[in-house]
Amino acid sequence: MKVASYTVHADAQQSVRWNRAAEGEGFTSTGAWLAAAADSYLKARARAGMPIPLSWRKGRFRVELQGGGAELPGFVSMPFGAFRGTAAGRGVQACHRYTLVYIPAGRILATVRTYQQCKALAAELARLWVRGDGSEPSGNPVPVLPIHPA
Amino acid sequence: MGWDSKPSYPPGAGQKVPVRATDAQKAAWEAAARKHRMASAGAFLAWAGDLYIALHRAWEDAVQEHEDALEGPGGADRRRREREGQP
Repeated sequence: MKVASYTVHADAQQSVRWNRAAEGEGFTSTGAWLAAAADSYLKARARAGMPIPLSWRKGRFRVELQGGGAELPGFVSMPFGAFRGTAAGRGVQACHRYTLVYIPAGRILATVRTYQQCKALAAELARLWVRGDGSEPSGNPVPVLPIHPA
Repeated sequence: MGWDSKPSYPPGAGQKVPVRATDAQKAAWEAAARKHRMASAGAFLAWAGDLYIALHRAWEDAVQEHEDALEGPGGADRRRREREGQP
């Protein structure tokens, strides 16, 4: 396995703190402890807030459009669906409008420019869905939506 | 490696700690350093080490406070002595 080497600079107090922590936790070296500390920070951060990658397939789902309910073809990754078009209905090819739907309620969540943006938005909303134990994502969407301008 | 540590380390950071990393760790640490606007992966490692210790101490303090709240001041020490079989 290829291994890279770093040299981490420390002041005297840091050095003492790190050595003590490494010894206390049974690491063979301070460098190994520092690596584990950095990895555990990144893991905790990933668990806390990273988008959840979703797996998508082709499918049909029901959507509440402006003119009433309709079943449309698109892409599905429960509980989300995405179709080409807007709240007014299906769009033509290359219309640059994709709409993300919360399938259990048929509710439109957002309309964005690309299918890729739909998937990214769903991945971020999935965190709220998981945290809400399967209830409709109800977190404040303000920090999320500006990243995916329609 | 060829990185300049000057912008990220305090003056007096004269001690050096060697750290070995796999390719995956190298990529993750360098990405994290960029995300945190640090000059190098080494600076990120130093920061993460200090953060780890600070969080661990905060956790120990919280446990101590909780045990004191359950058994009054000194309760945590009493329980520790009992665990260790001391009078």
